[in-house]
Amino acid sequence: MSIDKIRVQVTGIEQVAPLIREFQLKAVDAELMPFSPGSHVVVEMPDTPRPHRNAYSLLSDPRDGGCYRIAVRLQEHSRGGSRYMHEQVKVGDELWITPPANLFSPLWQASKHILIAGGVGITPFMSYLPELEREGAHYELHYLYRGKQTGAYREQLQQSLGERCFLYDADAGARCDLRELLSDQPRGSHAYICGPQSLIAGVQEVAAELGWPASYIHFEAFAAPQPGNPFEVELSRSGRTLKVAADTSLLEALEEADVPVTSLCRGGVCGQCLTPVVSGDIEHRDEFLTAAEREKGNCMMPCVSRAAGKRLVLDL
Amino acid sequence: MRIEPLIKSRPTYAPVAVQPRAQLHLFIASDDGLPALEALIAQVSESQQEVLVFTQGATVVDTDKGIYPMAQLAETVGSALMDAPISSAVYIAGNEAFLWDIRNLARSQGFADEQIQMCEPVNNTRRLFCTHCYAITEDVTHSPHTCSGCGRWLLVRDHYSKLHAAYVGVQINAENPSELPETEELV
Amino acid sequence: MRMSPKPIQSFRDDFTYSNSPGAIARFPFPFPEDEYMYSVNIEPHVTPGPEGSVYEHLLDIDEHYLSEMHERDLVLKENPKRCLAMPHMDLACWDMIDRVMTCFAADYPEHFSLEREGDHWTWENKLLNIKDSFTFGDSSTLPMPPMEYIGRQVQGDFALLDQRDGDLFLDAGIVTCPADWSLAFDAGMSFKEWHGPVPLAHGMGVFDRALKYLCAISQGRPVRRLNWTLTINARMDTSPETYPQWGTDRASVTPDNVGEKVHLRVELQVLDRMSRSNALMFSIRTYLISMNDLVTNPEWAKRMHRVMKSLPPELIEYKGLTRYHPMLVEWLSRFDPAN
Repeated sequence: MSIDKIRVQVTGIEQVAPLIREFQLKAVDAELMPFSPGSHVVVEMPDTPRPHRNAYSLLSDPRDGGCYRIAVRLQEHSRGGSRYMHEQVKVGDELWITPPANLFSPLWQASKHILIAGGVGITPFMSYLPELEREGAHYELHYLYRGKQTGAYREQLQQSLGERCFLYDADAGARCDLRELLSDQPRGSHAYICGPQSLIAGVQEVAAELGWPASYIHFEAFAAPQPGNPFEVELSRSGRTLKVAADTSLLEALEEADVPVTSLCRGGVCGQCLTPVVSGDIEHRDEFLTAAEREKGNCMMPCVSRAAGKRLVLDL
Repeated sequence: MRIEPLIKSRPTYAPVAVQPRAQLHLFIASDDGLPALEALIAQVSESQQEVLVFTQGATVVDTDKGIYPMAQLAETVGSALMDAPISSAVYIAGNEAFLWDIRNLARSQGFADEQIQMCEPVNNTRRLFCTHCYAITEDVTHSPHTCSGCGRWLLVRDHYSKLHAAYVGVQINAENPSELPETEELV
Repeated sequence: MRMSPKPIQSFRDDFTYSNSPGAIARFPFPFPEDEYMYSVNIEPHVTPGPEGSVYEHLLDIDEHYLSEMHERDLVLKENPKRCLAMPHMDLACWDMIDRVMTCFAADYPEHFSLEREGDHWTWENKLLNIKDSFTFGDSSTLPMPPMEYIGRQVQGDFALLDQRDGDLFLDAGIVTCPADWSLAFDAGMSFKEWHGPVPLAHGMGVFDRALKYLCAISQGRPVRRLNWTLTINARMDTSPETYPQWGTDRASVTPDNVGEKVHLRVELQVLDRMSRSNALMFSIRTYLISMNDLVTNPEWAKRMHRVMKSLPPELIEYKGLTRYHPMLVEWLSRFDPAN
């Protein structure tokens, strides 16, 4: 049976770091499916005037169909989603989520797994760890955070992982020396990074200098669309014109106007929301299109990309 | 304009260059492949980086100079790969089956594809995988070719398996066994 | 209409295989237009689909179930390497067991049942008289390796594709009724490598786009497409392995026997994301219909003629139709009023 959305109930909320809240979700009508480590779901929040849809990594044990857990960091420049989760959602509330999808899976052929988390980027690794343990895999976790804001689960991680857990609290002055971290790792090691773009770029740069193979570095950036300038979009097939506000993504504006666009990651990675463009300059912000595809200027990823000027015409 | 090969699984070979950031450079060649690597070996040696050279000796064998008989080569290379640091580069020269056998060995030891470079094969000989009996026939230069396992007359196709390091062979006259097509040289 | 399995018919030697009127009515005729067009043609496999159609459930069971399972047994006895799974695919094979058993028990409760207590599962297949209890995830508790165990109970070929580095790898499968491709040879290949021999489509960027699309499939949202070729006689196992046995069939077509010899072979391909392993399950469900049965539907007969007539030469060659294609077009022309 195909499943479009799953209705879940919030059965527990816990403050796991000063700016991070964990939500426990249980299915209302059925059992939740097992998932693979690194999976995420998109949570639909029925806010007004418009709903929010944000992707969050699942941090529970992948084999546990009893409940899913996600953790949400309150974003300073929240476009509404994280604020809604923190301020509006209460135990007993119902939400809709998508089935799990995975764009950040571990490579089981790796001789060693080096997990590098920045802040709330710890979440996908929370689902890696039980599976790495079951597989008897060789791994270590490096966790960079600011103790005054993030650093969720660090005590429990230190306790259960022991010597394989390395904590770096920037607020306590602890720094992670990436060069030292990546040097002398055994051949066949794979590194996984989840965190801000600066951390990802830092690891990539040091790894390249050290002669690491680029294909052994895997990363998942925080997938949140950034605000931009407001613009207008004309839909050439229906003749409609929509306004896209500064803090709204084009995808959200289309959804709000009931224009169907399939989407998955909502972060410019997966390619599902690819939309044909008739005219107008595009500010591409995705990771999906190739340089050649961008150059043609005839398609875009509306989940993150925007108009470079005041107006776009879409073939919708 | 370069004409794209019709069958996309057939490997293509880019020019081989020294990987400047590698800590260890491993050069592995059959005896007829060694000349293709000599300039690169000299280049790396000058830069004082660590170099290991392994050659398959058909006539001369001198393990002190890194020249091994074929049977010993795979074993020696295998343990060298196992001891190599994460930042290593592998350069291979020889016929196509040799290239991919060594590449598969390196992959099984945790090397990534971008760490492994292969020179253009030294000749046009192909390893052939019989799709009917799964037997391997080495050093095939013409199509069709008789299968070493089942004796069928095999059309040598361009469809390539990296895992088998071989091209696929399919009986050429299965639709009409009385047809005896002409033999063509493989390119 | 529900299809109930018929007694065993053969896909070789005497070819007793036949389609009932009900099976003809639900045949997935693959040509939406008069002219043949190459396209990715992937669409969501939304289930339940129309009742009684081949799209009703994730995996379709029909009147040929017993015949196809018998044929699979014959092929595997002749050549056990028609089924393989690389060691890292073990979890994916168990995911497939979960998906097949769960769906069969829900979709065809009259034939299959599944009881689960934690990891202790009991599976009953009434059609094949199988009842087994096993520990989920523990291959030693099954009578044979997991891929073969489940593959012997489900119609169609199956491949499990491992997803790594934005690519899909053919690392496990059970392939006993392929349209001329060899699992033993193609094992371990990447998506583009195993599609290497397909003409025309590479230049069109079809595989680049399809690959990105397939890598992003999430759980619970399978997709499907139809593929087709022609087969002489109702032969399921048109593999390269056995080509020496069926190659001469292609030369056996005469103007008088086109209707009974030539079969349209349609594959309903479904791609479904596996839960625990993140592998993609690729099911290739094959339907065969003779030209005689196909032309009982006048719309299909007319369109079949037009599509065959407009087929590009590269595809005639690639699909192995060269020897009898002109004869087929001539035979079909009588059903096309435009002629």
